[in-house]
Amino acid sequence: MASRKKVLLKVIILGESGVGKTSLMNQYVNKKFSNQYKATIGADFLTKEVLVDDRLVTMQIWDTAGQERFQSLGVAFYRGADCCVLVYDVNNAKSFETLESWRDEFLIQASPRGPENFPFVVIGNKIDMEESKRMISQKRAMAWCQSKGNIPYFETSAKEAINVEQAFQTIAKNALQQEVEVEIDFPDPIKIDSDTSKDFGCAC
Amino acid sequence: MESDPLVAQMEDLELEQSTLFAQPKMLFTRPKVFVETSTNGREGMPGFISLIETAKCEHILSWTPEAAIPGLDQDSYVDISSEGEHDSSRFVAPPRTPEGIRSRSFHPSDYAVSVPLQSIYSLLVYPPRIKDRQGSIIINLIGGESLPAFYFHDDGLSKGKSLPGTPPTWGGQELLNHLEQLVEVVGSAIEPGVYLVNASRADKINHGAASPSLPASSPPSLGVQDHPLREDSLTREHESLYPDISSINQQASPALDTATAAATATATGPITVEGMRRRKSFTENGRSNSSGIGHQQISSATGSPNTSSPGSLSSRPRTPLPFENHIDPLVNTVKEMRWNILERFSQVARFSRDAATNILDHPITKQILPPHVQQRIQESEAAKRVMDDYDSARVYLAKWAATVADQSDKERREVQEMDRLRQGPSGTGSHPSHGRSGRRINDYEDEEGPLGAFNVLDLETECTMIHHSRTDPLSPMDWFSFFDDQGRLKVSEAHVREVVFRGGIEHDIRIEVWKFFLGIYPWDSTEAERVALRASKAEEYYALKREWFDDASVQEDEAFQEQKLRIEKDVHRTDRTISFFASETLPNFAGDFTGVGSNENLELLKDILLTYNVWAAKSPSDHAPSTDKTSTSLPSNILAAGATLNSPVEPNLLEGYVQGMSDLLAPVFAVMGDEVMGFWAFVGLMEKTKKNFYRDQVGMQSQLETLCKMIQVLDPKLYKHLEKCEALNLFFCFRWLLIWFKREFEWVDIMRLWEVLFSDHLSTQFQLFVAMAVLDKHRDVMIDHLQGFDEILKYVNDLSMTIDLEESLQNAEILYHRLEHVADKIDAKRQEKTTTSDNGAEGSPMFPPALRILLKKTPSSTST
Repeated sequence: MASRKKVLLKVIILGESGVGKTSLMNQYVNKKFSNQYKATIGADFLTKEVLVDDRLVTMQIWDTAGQERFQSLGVAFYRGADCCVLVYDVNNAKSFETLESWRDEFLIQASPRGPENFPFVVIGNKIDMEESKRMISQKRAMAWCQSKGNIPYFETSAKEAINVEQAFQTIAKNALQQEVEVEIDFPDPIKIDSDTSKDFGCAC
Repeated sequence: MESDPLVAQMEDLELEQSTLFAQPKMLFTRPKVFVETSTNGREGMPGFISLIETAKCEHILSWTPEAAIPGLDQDSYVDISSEGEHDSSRFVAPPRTPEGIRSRSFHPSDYAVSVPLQSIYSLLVYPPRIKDRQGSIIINLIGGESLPAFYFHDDGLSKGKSLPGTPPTWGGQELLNHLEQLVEVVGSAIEPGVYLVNASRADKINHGAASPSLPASSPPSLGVQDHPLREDSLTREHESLYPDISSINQQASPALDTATAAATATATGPITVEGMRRRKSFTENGRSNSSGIGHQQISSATGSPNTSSPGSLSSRPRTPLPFENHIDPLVNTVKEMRWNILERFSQVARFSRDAATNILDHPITKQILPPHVQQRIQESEAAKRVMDDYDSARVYLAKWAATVADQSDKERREVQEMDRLRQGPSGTGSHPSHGRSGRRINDYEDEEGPLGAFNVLDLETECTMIHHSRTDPLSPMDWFSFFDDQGRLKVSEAHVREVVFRGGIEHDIRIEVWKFFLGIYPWDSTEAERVALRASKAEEYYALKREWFDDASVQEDEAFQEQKLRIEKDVHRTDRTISFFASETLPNFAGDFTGVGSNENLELLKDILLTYNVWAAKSPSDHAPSTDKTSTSLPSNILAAGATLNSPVEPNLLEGYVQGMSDLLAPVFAVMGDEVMGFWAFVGLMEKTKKNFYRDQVGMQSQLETLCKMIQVLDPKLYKHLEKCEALNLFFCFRWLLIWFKREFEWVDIMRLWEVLFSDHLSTQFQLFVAMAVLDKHRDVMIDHLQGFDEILKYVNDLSMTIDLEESLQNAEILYHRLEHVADKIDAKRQEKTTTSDNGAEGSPMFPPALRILLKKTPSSTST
């Protein structure tokens, strides 16, 4: 098989513990929700193939531990990121207030080229909860995003799959713009595509 | 430094195996060789029989189904087969071993088979006859198993070596001719159709195979009889098509039963008892093919009535083993061998595993080999999505390779276990240090380790027998027998630690035993003292708890509330599948997590964690900087954590709840069963693990660095690979070490693992050896398949809940002793240099101090 160009988009999800980072990732990739996800220790990632502007790209979505204590691990995980998703819980003011430090910490540790233009996306999660519990208004969140260089803002519910797809479409799109196309060479490709299967099953 | 001949031999073996499939060359191949299958019936499945030479000049006979070779590559097979001779050598797909993959669903390549020539004991050759124009060959392996019968269809395919005008050469004959050039093939004089491969002297004598070697050009024909397989006789047969049927029946009938054989033998020459036995086993071997895919069909494939029966004459009588039907020929071999051979076998098991992993590396076999995997992928949307991504695909395949390797390992262990049982108690717990670790010998040679000269000296280490000592868990009866009338321990603390290290503790008595290990009970306490202690501990606990529970000002404090929220978030998602924490009998007061109710035990988890904050802030701190000791008693610290979160004054303090603590608390609380003891047990556990949670992360950092050193010393090749992958930070082990594998093992295993870690018997940081053992188990897969930090992280994360605890503990113990041995050797070497060299030990490698600490039994901080 000839080598083909393949784009891998590395996306990092950050935010306070318990805002729903793992849930968002799983809702987007696996279309599943559980309120029993354990606190993430260290980091993990899932991958998903997505079409962005008619291009097939692979998103590698990194879910990280929410406690700032573990931020020092970020150096290893953030490197090469194409987009950073900052998540907060609209019912938890503190999780919104720490967005700025998450953003700053990310820029320090990932040290991307052109930090001022690095794509962030902000997600206000858990909008499925009753309005009375809401602590951060949409207006306030959008104002902050605007002040940080027009960061795209989404309000989602990972639980009820509201707006998750849209948010990640934008994430993918902005990540793709950031990504300098990396050519991945396939020296010995694992052929799993359909034309290989023709060679099977036909015995004589 | 002299190396033991056995070691040298093993080295050779290793060398061969490691490069076995590196760059195989095809020496000979013949198309249209059929194997009877369950789906294709008597017609059989067509394939290529090939002789393949590896880069190490090891020779392999293999059969690959046509259907499993993609069109393009099939052409190359055909090309080679028509070119005929050795010059046609080219790289081909590494064939799979019979130990390869056994799939329930039958795919063409499930029938693929390959064996090293030296594992072939004999061939049963049935040349073409009137009724059976194909002719077939059955290959018997040394262990007594046989490969499926290969039917050579000659239709229009004899463009091999035959010259124009000469009768076509039968494919089986061609194969024999080529075999002869690689191994010694002698025909049995007393059993027509039987050819011995690299036969022992005794076998040759028994078979009347007088001449030990054949001229390379002449066909195999030996002994008294004019053998039907001689080319001229074969030609004659082709012309005359066996005019004398009765003589043929005697000479070449595949249905040669014992009686006939004996009769033939008696009629044709001298016979010994051994000869009869051997013959009997031949005929048995030819038919009793009960193991392995494709073997089932052989008895009927010979087209003969199955006349074999377990004969008393069999030279190798053996008791059928329960798993016999599931194991491969190589394993079978071993069952009949002695202990020392077992060591070689462990190499063989590895060999097959290496084969499995190597196979995946090869572009052709990537397509040939995992058809059932592919099938599944084609069926599964999710899997397809994963496979579309090259990186994920590698992780996926790596997992698959690990499964195969694991199966092979399990079989090896079963055999070892059998052998151990057979040896009786003296063999208890013994474990050959070879096997998996054997490869390291080469690694040390190939890879310059950190210790230089030690690499050579380590050869000796490698052949030392290293044991694990795992036994049954401590039973209540044994436990109570440890105490005198006063309820005071009458055996030594060290003894109890060792017992628990070796086997763990039966669940019923954990509640008591853990209290000793977690520092609640002093080891020399009497029963009365412990009763009193329980009361005072309860008082102490409730006093601590009251400091936040009864104090409204504390409750209102922002920092406290922040801590409380943090704890609640995590507690509500901690071990909710465990019945102890599962119920939803109480509303969720936290209000932060929707939907899921709480229960009494969850609420107690929160209380314990909050109280621990108080305790940690108060407790005389071995971690607080010495300059600031006074602060530990200040009331503001009772608020714990939050208040000082952003102040860098005491960089080593816990500073409140950290994620992962709820994971550590849940099992000890569940074992203790009540709040007070749960709290104190948690305090004891945190004494062992709290450094992991320090703000500056030095605890984790130093553990990861130590583990890294350990890899460097014990497995330089893996180290280099991790270096290449930029994964030397070992962050993929972070979760393991932070919470003592809590997320990697099931609940019951966690309790067992933790009590072993509590014991501090060999090392106070035994968790690092457990980590090393798990890495060691997967190192081949990592080296062969994983090429980046993210791939390794994903692979390691996904090992969660798949790790065999007992095996890991066994290997961890063995690794401990290996490290110890390495340290001794290096020390001895340095000592030697100091006394003999002018420069003293200068320049001589030194055992890393970080690792030496691991080998010291420093007294546990909780044992006093």
